[in-house]
Amino acid sequence: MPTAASARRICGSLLSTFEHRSFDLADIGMVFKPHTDLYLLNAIANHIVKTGRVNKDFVDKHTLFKRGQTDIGYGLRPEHPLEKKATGRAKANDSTDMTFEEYTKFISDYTLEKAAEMSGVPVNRIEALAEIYADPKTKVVSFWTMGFNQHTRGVWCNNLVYNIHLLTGKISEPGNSPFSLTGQPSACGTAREVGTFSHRLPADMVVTNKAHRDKTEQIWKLPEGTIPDKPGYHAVLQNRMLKDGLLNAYWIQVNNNLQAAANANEETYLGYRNPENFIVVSDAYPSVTALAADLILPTAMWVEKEGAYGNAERRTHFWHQLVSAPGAARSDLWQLMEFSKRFKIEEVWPEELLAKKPEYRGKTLFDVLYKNGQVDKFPVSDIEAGYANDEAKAFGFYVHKGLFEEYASFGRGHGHDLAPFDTYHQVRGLRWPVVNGQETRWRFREGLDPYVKQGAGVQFYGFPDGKARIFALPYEPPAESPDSEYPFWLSTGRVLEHWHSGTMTRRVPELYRAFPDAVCFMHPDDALEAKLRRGDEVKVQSRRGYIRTRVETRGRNKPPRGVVFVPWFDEAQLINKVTLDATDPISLQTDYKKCAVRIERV
Amino acid sequence: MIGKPGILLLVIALAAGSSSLLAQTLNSGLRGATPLNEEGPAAPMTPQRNTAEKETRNYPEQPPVIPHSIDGYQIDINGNKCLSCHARARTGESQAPMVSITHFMDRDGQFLASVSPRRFFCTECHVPQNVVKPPISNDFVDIDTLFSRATPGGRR
Repeated sequence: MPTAASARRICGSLLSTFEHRSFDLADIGMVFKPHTDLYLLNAIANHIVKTGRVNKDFVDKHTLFKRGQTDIGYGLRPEHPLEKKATGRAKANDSTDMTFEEYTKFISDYTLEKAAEMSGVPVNRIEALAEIYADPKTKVVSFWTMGFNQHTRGVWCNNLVYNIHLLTGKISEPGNSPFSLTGQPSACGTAREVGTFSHRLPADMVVTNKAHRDKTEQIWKLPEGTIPDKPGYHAVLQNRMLKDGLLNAYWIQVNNNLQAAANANEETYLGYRNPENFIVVSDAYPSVTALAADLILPTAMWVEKEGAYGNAERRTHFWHQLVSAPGAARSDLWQLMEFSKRFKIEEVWPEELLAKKPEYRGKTLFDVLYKNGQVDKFPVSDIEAGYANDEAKAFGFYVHKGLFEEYASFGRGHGHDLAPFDTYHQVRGLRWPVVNGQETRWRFREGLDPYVKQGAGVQFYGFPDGKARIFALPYEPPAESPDSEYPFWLSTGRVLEHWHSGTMTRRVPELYRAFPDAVCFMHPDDALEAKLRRGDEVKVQSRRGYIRTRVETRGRNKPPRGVVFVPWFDEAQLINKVTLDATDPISLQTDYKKCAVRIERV
Repeated sequence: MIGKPGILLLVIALAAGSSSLLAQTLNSGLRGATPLNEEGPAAPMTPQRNTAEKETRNYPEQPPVIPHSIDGYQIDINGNKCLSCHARARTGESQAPMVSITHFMDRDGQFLASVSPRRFFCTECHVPQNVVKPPISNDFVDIDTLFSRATPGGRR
């Protein structure tokens, strides 16, 4: 959804696979065939090169060119035929050096005409969009949401948008930036920053790097070798391993994975109900995930505990506990900490680890992780007067402050500086790095980011050479496309009224009545051809499963012919029984926007 | 010794029996009684409520819900059908509530002469209501009731 702004006028242009409400205010609306965004983005880059509008000075000083690995597969199970023939699967994230000339030759095939032919977008609109980027006098911000990220080539799409901004130098300054809104701007930042992924540690560190593990073990006061050097199962793999019986104990905290994960019929549901497995769900609601669990733990919500989150714009936000959770419900944090008391360190560590920290003998995991002189350093009296804090009351110390300060020590002095804990309760969020009390509004540019060396102008310090990467990445086909048997593309997503799986919002009467049940948005001509009318009950059927729903031909979403859209909030219509669990092999994020279905009258 | 495995088996059988009973009784009002591995019939579509009567807001900051149908309303870069009744100048004729004064403010709190572009997109906050009973009741209590409860002799 790129939008452009200039001093003279503001122009919004919009890309999607179907028309939705954001089109209402767009100057240039473009509906493209699913997956052809890869063509469009390369064609824009090619247009910039062909018309001589590359910012040569910026490109020479601040970028390098890389040829990305191709034929990387679709993140399906290894025995899937598509994976067997994907030659680049094992090294999906690899790249090799190339020159600017080689790059321009690579993208020269991606002409505006070719992009128009492949995407179905009229060539004059693509050119108008390309001109917004190419014109050196126009400032441009590109925003994108899940269509780019939940994509079997999601990392490529992100790289290709960055390419355009880097080729023109329209980055890291007011009015010029690429910006991934992610699905959950208020929380996705947190997950990335703090390292809640199977391969990550805090502050952008990874478990596969010995230096990162050493630093983490030192901060967490653990003996060397405690953190395994291999990533755990990633989210999609967890469901497959539950089904295969290789993952047997699974604790889900306040997340509706059974409704949210793709291919529920063939993977997720079978994994949860596999009698070999013990599934624990901590939730505030009887979500479908909770219904599939062996044990449900009632869990506190948002303002029933103190907490913090990070926004996509790097803003760190705090909030206080405002009410106590009802009944026996406890926060996820309380549950984890209380659980850790049940283990003696001898039960979880081998002797060689224990021998490196003999002072831990006889202690519980709780003692080692929390009551360790670091996390329990701050007294309950540090809590701002007038606010409750049930965890602090339960454990006798200001848990949140101790954990935050420990976490913040990872990034301070390393470009991810956070302010002192108490500051965040006084301000309305601060964007890291926070240096000398000042937040950073734009990164990587001298004068705006204190980490950029004096005289450098721009410094992309994520790499030691200070240069950003421009990637040559081609179009590759999607994992599944419509055919005569399953003639429609299915795209899934959200409606404004309902947050994710609807457990909260469908319990609000006004929101329920605004959008009570999921429907299948469809082009009126497709409906006519299938002799269907608005309101008819249909099966949305894929190779994996079906749901029963109603046809909607005149709602807020207007798919083109050949595309249907079904929102996923409705637990009575589990559309993820229909979707395909194809994932980006690099980001490991599922593509919820593309699979093939047929529509049958019930 | 011989009796022990038998007792164990019995315990397991009981446990299995009770867990399957439990699985049958657990369901959510939002999904209904359809087991997770089946898909039930789709609820019929419902019409939009279509009256001129305002609904009481639950709290002052709540964007009022739209009491009437907005089928076919154009709200885009070329026009805004809602403003044909709710714009200041049209309210005499239409007797519809005027767009809130907050909608004339820009991001810096300055009042503009007409509706601010950032508030132009009515359906971002205001939604019509379908004639349908939510399957899950809600025990929200508004602030006046809370105050009243706290007052001696007030409403309970």
